[in-house]
Amino acid sequence: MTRARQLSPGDADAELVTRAAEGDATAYRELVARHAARLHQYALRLTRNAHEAEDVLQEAWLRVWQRAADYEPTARVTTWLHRIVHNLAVDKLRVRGRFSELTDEEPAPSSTEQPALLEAKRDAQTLRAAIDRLPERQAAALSLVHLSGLSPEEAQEVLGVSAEALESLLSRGRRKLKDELTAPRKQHVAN
Amino acid sequence: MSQIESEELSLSRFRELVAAYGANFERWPATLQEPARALYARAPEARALCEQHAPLDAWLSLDTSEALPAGLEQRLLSVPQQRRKVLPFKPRSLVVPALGWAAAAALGLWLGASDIADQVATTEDVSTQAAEATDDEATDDDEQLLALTTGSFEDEWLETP
Repeated sequence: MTRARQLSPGDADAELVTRAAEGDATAYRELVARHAARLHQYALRLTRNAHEAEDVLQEAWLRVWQRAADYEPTARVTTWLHRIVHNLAVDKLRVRGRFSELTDEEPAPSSTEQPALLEAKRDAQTLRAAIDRLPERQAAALSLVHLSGLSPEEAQEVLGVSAEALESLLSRGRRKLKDELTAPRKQHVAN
Repeated sequence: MSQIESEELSLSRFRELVAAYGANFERWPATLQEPARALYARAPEARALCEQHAPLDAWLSLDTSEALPAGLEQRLLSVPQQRRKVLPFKPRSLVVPALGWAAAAALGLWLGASDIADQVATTEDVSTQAAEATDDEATDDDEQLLALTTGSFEDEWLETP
């Protein structure tokens, strides 16, 4: 059976990957236009470093271009792309000795100012800062399900965790995020 | 009634799930979405739980995606120009060249075989003539050698000028 027959009708992303695998640069660029910004945000959430996120994204898209034929139509393209970025980010963190693996431990208290109340003016920057203060795995789970729009099943596949583990990560992440966004300003002033 | 519709969702389980996935059932595991909607429709407690989590969902629904940094976007878009594509192996793509090579090889073999046959035939003729000539020369040489050893040369051969 050919790959084209395995594709679900209307799965434009999968069609683009198939064309990119055959050397169609226009299809590759369309994939970049559709997904790169979202993947960049996910890389930023994992690495928490602009330069590392850019490195991860460049490596990821180079892999997409050179290895598009490895894509299996059993998974959605966005899941496949997030999985590539996730693995590269984890590798980079591991190589640089920052983490033996994505940790679920509490990060050190941030000295940056926290938002006063949940009802305060909502803005994306505040949300990003609050997510960045979460443990990496919780931040990754929240980013995949709530920001990247992956289904829980797809997020499980990207993170390589069970349904129960994903639920636990999301639950703890949301609770901490709510605390971050609702708690009165915490003072980390060295007296 | 489908299996999903028949699945009952307890309020305590609903509480765990809404704490993890939020109040938007579209983000829940696929098999739990319908039971969640059913419980939400009939249980005020479920609706109250959703209201509690709605503000955080509103935060998370903020579009946090930003445009790519200009330099990065350009680098990503230029990947096909800078990096050679590793095209997947396709046996079908080799059929035409393989047929061409096979035809060329067969033609070469046929021509080669014909040429060899001609050369063999020619060589045989030349060899026969050469052998005959050699036989004649050998006969003359043998006669001269015999004459020297037996002293039977013609007298005029031995005369000095």
